[in-house]
This record gives sequence, structure tokens and C-alpha cells, in this order.
Amino acid sequence: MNKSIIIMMTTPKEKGIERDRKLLEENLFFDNSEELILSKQENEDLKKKLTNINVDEKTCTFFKASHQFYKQLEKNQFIVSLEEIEKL
Amino acid sequence: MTEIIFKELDKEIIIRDFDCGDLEINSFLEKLAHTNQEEKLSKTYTFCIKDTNELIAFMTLSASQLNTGDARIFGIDKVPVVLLGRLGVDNDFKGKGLGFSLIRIALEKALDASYIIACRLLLVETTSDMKSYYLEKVNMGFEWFRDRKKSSILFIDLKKYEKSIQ
Repeated sequence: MNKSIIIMMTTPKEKGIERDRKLLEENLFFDNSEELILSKQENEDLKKKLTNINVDEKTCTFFKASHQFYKQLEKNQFIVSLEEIEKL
Repeated sequence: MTEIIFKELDKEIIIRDFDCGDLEINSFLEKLAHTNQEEKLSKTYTFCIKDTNELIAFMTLSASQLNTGDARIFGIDKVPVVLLGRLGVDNDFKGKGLGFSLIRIALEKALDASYIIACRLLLVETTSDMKSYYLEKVNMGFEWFRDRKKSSILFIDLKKYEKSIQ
């Protein structure tokens, strides 16, 4: 009986790409070097978005959870365990 | 269990070993964060290891505006915003939810600010390849504003946030 065992291995290149992707995550940098001036289309688009303040259910759920998270943090004198943060 | 504490940047916090993998963000923290805070140009908030006071993640918030140019939105030509200018998570602590936790806190801080001085949006800028991640995969209420060469500007409407938590 021939059994062939295929072992999937991540190549060093793939590991490097994954590591770089993780490094990119969670960092945010705002380029404030030029003033943001809205174009006519951007104005119209933004106005539409700001006029309609309906929130979809998923976003509403996130917002509520976010608010609860902060309130709990506040209640605990802003101390939390890394493990709890990871569970969120 | 590793306890961490959320607090404003102060002189006692140890930042020397912080490295988030981005030279500009690292450099800002090392060279400008304290001065900017003292000069009231930006406010830096941190997560630190409680026992050692070592900084493991931070974000900065500051006031800014969107210029509507010749047009007007609600009759004004400058929409006041809170800018989440920088957010960095130390490489050793990435993937643990610290970045998202800071964004959650930024929302609260921005909303609080809006009760004192009006501001409508929380504005962030993310790399182009993370745009769909923030807009679609991670449902944090981000909306798209504009694409730049290698990045995208996103925002959260504080009025929507306020409406949701009431």
C-alpha cells in the first residue's frame, strides 16, 4: 500500500510576507503635510453621509461594545489584563 | 497575567525600547510626543505594562478640520474633526488587540471632546492594503473619505457613535 504524505510547509518568503503584514497592522500614521480641501464631489458625498445618521446593526453593535469596553476600563482605574484585551 | 494600564503620556513612562516597525512613528514618540503635548499640539495616550511602566502602544489625538473649499456643508466651510494622527503598537505586542482597543478609546475621547468643542468626525489614515480590512473585515464603523497615493483616509461619524450608545 502506497501512502504519500504531503507536508505543507510555509516557505521563508511566505513567513516574511506574513510578518511584514502583521507589522503593518495596528500602526496608523496621518499625513498632515497638506490641508485637506474637499472637492465638489467629496463635499456632496460627505454631506450625504453626514445627513443620514442611520447606523446599521453590526456597526451599532460594535459601537455599543466599544462604549462598554471604555466604561469597564474606567471602572477598573484604566487597568486591564493583556489577556482580556486579546479576547475582545 | 500581564496587567497593562491606559494613561496619558508622562515623563515617567519608559519608551526607550519601543519599536512598532515604523521609523516615523517611532521617531515621533521619541522626539516629539512630549513636546507636542506640552505645547498643546497633540495629546498622546498610552498602554503601558503596569509593573514596569514600559510603553507598549500609543496613539495621538489632535484637533483638525476638513476644508470644504467653495462649497458648504451645513452652512460651514470647515468641518471640525479629531485626528487620530499616530497609533503604534510595539512589535512584541502586535496581534493582541491593542490597536483596536486604542481606536475604541479614541472614539470615546473624541466624543467627549465634541461635548466641549464641536467636532463631527474621527479621522484616521491607513495604508492602501489595509483599507478593505478596516472598511469590510473589521466592522468598526469606518467610512471611506479619500484615497491618497499609498493610503486611504477613513472616518467615523461621531454623531452616529453617539446615537448608537444612547
